[in-house]
Amino acid sequence: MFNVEERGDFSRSVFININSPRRREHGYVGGGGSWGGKRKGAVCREESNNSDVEERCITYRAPYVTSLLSTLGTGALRFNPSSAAAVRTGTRYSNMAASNSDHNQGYTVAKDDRISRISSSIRLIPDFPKPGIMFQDITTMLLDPVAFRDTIDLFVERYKEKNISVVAGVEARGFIFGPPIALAIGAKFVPMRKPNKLPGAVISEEYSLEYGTDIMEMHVGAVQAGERTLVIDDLIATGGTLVAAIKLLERVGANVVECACVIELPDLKGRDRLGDKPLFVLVSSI
Amino acid sequence: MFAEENGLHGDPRIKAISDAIRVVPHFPKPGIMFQDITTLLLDPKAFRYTVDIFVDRYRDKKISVVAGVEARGFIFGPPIALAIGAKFVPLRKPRKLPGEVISESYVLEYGTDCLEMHVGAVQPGESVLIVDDLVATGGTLSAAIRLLERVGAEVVECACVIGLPLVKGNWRLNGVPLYVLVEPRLDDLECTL
Repeated sequence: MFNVEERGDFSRSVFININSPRRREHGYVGGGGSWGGKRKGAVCREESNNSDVEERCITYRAPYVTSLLSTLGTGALRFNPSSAAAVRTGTRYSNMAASNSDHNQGYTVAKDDRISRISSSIRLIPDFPKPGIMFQDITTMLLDPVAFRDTIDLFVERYKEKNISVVAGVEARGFIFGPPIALAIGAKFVPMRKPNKLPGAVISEEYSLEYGTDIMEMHVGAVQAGERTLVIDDLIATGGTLVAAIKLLERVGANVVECACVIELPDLKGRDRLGDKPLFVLVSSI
Repeated sequence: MFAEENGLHGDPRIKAISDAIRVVPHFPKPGIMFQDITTLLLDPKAFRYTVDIFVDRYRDKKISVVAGVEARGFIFGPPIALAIGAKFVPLRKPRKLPGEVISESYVLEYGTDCLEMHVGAVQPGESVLIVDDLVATGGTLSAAIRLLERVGAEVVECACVIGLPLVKGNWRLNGVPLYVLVEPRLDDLECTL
């Protein structure tokens, strides 16, 4: 079996202690794993530059893992899940580039050496806000100034020459990532807020939640018709929130150029709900 | 202390920042002249000035943590944290932060509210800057200071874009100095959206 080591240092997540060179490179204590050598399918940081080979690297950050993906080949381990969290989890970052095929148009997962540190810095919290949900907690990334800086840099590098004049950030975690991007690219920052928070004249858009609905608001006059706009949030799940933001912006005639998130949960198919709006993410998490 | 009285006298950026803030009368209720910073965020130069002034003040103070109060502290805190190489720690309303938290309650005009912080986010002895858009009664900032002091951190200063001394001449909150860029305006004639 393998050891699950809980780090006392808050800034690290709970890791499965496997003998991965990538882990050692980041200063985490490695060794002691019972995997016996590199797993098939594991990618070292050095290998992630092989652009021709679609290799995947699996990072396990949860304290409870019910099964490992079969792509790991030899050495795949299983243990019986505790009742607390029977959720398969892991983070996959791959060489998926923007595809030009019709159904995948404009969907990009970033590929960059900085991604592994960013991905590793995100903490998974089981059963939050309710049982069965594995919450992606970006606050641990904010505690790693290099990872936070790299996150912003990756977005800024993508958008800085694109004549973006508006960065719209969704309350509340979009407020953490949006403003640094806006400042770096010289754009306005427009907060998209829960109801009754913005003073003065607003426009509202209702959107569906799993149970019930919520409302998102934007200031009248914040965005002019034709302005090239980016929508930022920390994570895209079902895409409902981003769709509401897109609708608000399009109602005032803005040109939503792209949606950008740190994390995507691809199984929830949020990008399909965005329709023709491209999506850019740094980390795709299954 | 006001920035203007503390090294930035005559700095044109201060006026640009003040002019970019919109006053919305009678929000959230009659009699309150709401200081709306969203118009500041629509002025990239003025927003940049705001962050620059704070960064210039704090970059050499060995601050390792910038704590921002939900939600508008999330707008000003992270750019400062990034520029000075500090961690950013969100201080949130109840039940937003996953995992283990500590809570501090504080008094509102009617009733109480609560601020939470992650356990382990801040270590004892760390030097901390607390950031919010505005200080009014100081209730929220006091709760933030208490949270950080409970985990053994040292709160070096509280920084706000807008504010007034709580009592004339008294620029300390629980003993922690307060640094403010501009005072609240009472009129809305100078800035329209």
